Amino acid sequence: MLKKLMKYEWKAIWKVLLIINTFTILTTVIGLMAMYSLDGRYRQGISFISSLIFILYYMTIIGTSFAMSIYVGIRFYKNLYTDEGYLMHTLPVTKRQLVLSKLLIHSLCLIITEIIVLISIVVLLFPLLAVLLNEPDLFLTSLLHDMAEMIRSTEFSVPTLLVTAVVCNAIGMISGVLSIYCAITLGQTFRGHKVMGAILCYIGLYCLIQSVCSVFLMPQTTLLGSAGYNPMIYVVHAITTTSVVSLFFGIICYCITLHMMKNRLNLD
Amino acid sequence: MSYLLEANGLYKYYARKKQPALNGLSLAIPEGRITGLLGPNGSGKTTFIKLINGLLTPTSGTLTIDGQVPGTGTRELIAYLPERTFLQSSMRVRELVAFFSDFYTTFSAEKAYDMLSSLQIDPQARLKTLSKGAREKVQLILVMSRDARLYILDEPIAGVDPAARDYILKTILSNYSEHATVLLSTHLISDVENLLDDVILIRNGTVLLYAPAEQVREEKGKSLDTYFREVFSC
Repeated sequence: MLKKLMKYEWKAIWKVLLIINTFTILTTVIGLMAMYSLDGRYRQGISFISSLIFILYYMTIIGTSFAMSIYVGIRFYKNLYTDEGYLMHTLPVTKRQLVLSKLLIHSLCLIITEIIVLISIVVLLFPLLAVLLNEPDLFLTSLLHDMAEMIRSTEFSVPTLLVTAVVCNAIGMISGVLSIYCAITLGQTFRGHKVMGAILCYIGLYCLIQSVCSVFLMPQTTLLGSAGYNPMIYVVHAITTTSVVSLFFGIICYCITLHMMKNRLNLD
Repeated sequence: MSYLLEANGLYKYYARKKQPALNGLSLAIPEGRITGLLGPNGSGKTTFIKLINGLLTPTSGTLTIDGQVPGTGTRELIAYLPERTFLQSSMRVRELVAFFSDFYTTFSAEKAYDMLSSLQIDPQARLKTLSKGAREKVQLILVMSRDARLYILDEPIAGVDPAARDYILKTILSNYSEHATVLLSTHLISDVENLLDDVILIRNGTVLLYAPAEQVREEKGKSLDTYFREVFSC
């Protein structure tokens, strides 16, 4: 049943995923074309146009990631807590299967969106920044050199750091989806204005998670300004601490969502 | 007599209302009957139906379907037609048939396509492109194409024209098995009166009367519709 639920969830969401990511790809292609179409004669204009592209690009990247997260929330709400919920909650499937099918597909969609954003950054943002600095070769070389130096000075190897980054990112993304589900589910307990209730619950959850992360990061943060402290170590600590906290809250959000669906479901 | 559905002391309070939607409702519905759940708006019909389907959580009391509390196990037994459009409007009719085939082991796609064909509903059409009446017919076809133990139809004929109403009632009659029970909620009693084996009159969340339809007609000396109007006159 889980596979069937996932199949229909994918069918319902793939077009939106395609549209959002096509928008990112188009923006990247337009940006690249604009950048490379400028030659030496228009050198004066490069700085202005590049800056404009950079701003538009930045807004698009933020917008597409945000749009996908918003759509995931809307889809969860609409499919489970509006009229469509009358069908979904009367299917011969467990609540766990309902939530898991959405979680897996929605996380996959967000991961695909993020991969496309990352690829887009690599192909556009680095050359764009290089153009902005007017010294492409020097900029890239020095950036890579600095990063390599920072990594070498820590006790971590590059593969370890990469795996850590990927795992932590995935945990953060899945926990983010679960916190959206939890907020929407908690929003249903509000007497009226359930959508507003869900938004308030999400803001509350977000603030709580960030506060807990800040508390756990406090010892490292105080060391950040001290002499000889490698900022890369702080970055690694920040990523891992945030992931552990996100994982913890993700599990709690999952349990709350399931509990509310099983024992407190009240469709209007 | 074996009962398919049993409710005992069922209460349901909504957050903003002081009066309960269900006020200690108790009843037992046997197998193989067409039962009308009749009552005015706000009497608790839809609340009761939603509780049977697990869409609401009761405040207190017990409810069982074939001995099981509403849950995953009972959903295969119940074919539920809600009072609203519960299908994804962007889906095509054939996709909806495939959806029901995938999830319900007792669903007959062949039966569904036969009914769609007799009503000249294009399986390729998207639900949102169909008229309100056609959408309701599609929903009914999907629900009635299941071989369920309990059919729950919440206001299946409200808001459709008389011709569609006749078709819907004919579909209900010709598509449920003898051993199945149909629980039909409506306030359009004259249209369904002749279908009903039993009637449940419900008011303020409690059962006012539960008796065979024929017995009510004989004892009161009037049609169910007339009796209903007398009982619930404002």
